[in-house]
Amino acid sequence: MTSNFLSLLFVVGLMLVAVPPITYLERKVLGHMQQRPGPMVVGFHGLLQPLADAIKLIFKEDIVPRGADRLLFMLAPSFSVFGALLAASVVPIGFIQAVPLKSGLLFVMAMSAISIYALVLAGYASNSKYSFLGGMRAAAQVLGFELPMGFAIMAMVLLYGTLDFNEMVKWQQEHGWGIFYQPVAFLLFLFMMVAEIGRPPFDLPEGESELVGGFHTEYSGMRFAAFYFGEYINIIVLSLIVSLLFLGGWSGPFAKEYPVLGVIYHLLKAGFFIFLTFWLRATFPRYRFDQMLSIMWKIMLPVSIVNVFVAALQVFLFRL
Amino acid sequence: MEVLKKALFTDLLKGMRVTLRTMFKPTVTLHYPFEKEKPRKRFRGIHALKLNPDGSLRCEACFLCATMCPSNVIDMEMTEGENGEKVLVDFTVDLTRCLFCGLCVEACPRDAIVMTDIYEFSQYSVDKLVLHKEDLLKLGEYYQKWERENK
Ligand code: SF4
Ligand code: SF4
Repeated sequence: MTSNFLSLLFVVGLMLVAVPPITYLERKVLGHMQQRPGPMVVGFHGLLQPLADAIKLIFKEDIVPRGADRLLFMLAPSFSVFGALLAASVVPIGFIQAVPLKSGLLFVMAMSAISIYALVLAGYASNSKYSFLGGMRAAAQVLGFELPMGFAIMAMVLLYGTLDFNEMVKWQQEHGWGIFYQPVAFLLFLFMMVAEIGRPPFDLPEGESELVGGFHTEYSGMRFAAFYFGEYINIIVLSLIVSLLFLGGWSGPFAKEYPVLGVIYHLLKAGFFIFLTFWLRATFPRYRFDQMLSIMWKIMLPVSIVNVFVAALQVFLFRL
Repeated sequence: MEVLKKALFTDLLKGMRVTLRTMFKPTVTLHYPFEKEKPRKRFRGIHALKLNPDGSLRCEACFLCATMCPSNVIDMEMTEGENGEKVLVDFTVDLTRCLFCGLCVEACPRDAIVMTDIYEFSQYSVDKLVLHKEDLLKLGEYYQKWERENK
């Protein structure tokens, strides 16, 4: 696997360039799911809408509220972006991997959790009760999803016997996709992924109706945009990881002969999960605070623990 | 059975099927600033004051509309004319507070105050939303043309 500065540029560039089209697509998909066309005015079928958004965000006045913790307030959005970008740097896309890390999976989990802490920080530093509640709910969400997610991943790690993404894909190329061995872990991971990126139905840190916007109530302009950049990069990264863990990553017909095809397979698989997050957003209402916690702790956590035993049994019985 | 249903997320999947299907249905919205809906005949837009066929004011400043108005939107100013009758100096309708309930129209014994089908009347300053006699009479001209065509 190539690992050099160029790959790093490619990965980071892809993450940054992909965000505006994804926001556009999201609005289109959401619109059509609600029988309206979505953005239509700027450019052909609203294609220039991301540009218009960018112009608006850049020229908006950047305000730091009185009494806010200035340093943390300014740092929080960059934590969100950098956490997500750091996670992206170790994820292989086909044969392109910026930083080949043996414990890549662990690193990704840690880094994408950092972007949730950015939300907590933002809520805390804003000196606003609504933002604070949003941050608190982000913290509660971390408490809720991190454990089941860890156990879901642990099952896969037991199965593959490695934390290295490349090894995992190699394993799946030999034995078949992980989803056939561990469908439960797949579903759990999907749930937790949606919670991790803080999208509906698990968008508790936000909430126009109850929190006046949530943790980012006090943010404006580019700082506000940074949170969204972080969120969308996280979506891409986690979608790439689901397809790595469960759908064989870049494996597919002719992927071994033509590595470029592998990149395309991988991006397509990830694209499906990105679409899935839009789809979920259009379908389900937000979970209530206590509902979220009780689902995570009473259902997901026991299921995921039992699932780890199942995975261990699989490994023991089939000598995988 | 119940447990199985819950474990397989059947309800959630049903909902997701609905949204996915809707995605391929044609859109139903109006592109508002470019396409406009024609208001129905009894739509209550902003007010207008009608004139008599001979060009004189229909309103005789009886104040019934102002009395009836639940939010005190209508106000009038009048003087005494030569023959002792009331002469309307100004007639104001404050659209910022109006409910568009149409009670003023119901109350008017002379069919002087009416409601047009105009619904686009946003302004950059609030005082432009207070309609005076001249504005209302101009709107009345519009209304009477509309009335001739539609009734
Ligand atoms: S429509 Fe109703 S609120 Fe408006 S002026 Fe007439 S009576 Fe008053
Ligand atoms: S009720 Fe009719 S006639 Fe009387 S003041 Fe109002 S608009 Fe004029």
